[in-house]
Amino acid sequence: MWTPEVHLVLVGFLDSQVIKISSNHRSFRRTTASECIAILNRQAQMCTRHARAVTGQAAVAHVRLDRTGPHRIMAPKSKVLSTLQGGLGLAKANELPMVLVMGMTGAGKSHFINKLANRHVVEEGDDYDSCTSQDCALKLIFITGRRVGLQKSQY
Amino acid sequence: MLLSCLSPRGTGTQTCTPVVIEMSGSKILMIDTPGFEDSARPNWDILDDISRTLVAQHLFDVQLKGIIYIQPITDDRVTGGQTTTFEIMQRICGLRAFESVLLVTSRWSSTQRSEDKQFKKEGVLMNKYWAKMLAAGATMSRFYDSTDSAIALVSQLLRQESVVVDLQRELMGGQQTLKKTQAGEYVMKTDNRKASRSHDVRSEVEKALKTLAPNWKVAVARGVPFVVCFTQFLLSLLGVPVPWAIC
Repeated sequence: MWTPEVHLVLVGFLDSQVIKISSNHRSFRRTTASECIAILNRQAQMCTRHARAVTGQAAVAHVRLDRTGPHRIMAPKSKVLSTLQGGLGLAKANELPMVLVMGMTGAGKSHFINKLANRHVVEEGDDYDSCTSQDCALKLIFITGRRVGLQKSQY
Repeated sequence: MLLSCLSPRGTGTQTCTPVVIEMSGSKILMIDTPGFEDSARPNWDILDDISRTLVAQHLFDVQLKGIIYIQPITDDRVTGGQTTTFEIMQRICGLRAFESVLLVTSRWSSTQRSEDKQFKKEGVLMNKYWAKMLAAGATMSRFYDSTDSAIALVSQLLRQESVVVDLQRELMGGQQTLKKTQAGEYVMKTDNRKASRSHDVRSEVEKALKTLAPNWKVAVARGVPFVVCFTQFLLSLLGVPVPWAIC
């Protein structure tokens, strides 16, 4: 099993009674989530007291639970790639980060990507009015500001 | 809100669209997935597209940095469609990948009147709908509808380690078909119909790879970068005709 490693950063100010808690939950196992939260709560109380002792100054506490094993279980790899080896430029593959953008139809996924690219790269739909005609999706792929691919797809 | 449209009608994303973004000198492959609960396509087809993309990504050792889940803050309540979409996303990721999920609220507007409503809605999402996922390590952020904001959000994910989601683990391990995955089972239930397409995603992707390898090799030999080849491969997988020889 894996690593419930929890960092808790707690900042308390007595005078303004503002207590800001931010925590960086590395991982929670389903069974230990409540335990972790309980520990965080205890720690938070303790820190609050500490913060009071040093009025106006930030108190920072770190909680670290035991590491019990690797928390990322890898999926097995395919053999097909090794039979095709060479010529595919695979050396560059593990330098390429990928991010998946998901959400309900009309959530603004394409809009997000267009904003990220700072130009119109993907088609956006009308709010909550999904397209019924399936024949017109223009896809543009940009790389270093140069248009490298443009195709009209027929899905 | 809506930028100028290239097509005569406002169309949503039809299938997973890979977009290569250059950010501070390095390239990032953003996958714009089609929205679930779309009147034009059943959830099953959308899940199928996403699973192909994820299997191909894992096959090539492209680094999945995370998932950005976008929900507009404008609606007064969380609709059934949003709940379904969220549930599907949870099942695609699996508990172990929750810390690589960025829950993003979009369409923040700055008028005083709408702000109160938006804060309220954000609170509801945080304390109710998204609470479990947030407790498991997911992050919640706002998208302020600007390029800077989008870059900040993506940068958050890029700092993290790459992740393997449950759907990949299920599809890459053994003989699991899409039907038998957690996400697949859930979508079958919501679609309330039998899925028609073939579901052994992994062997389909491998077959496509064998078929397209010659094109790919020609493209690489002509100096087409890996990222473009991979993008074209993804599009081919999703049934989009691709001009391989571009350069």
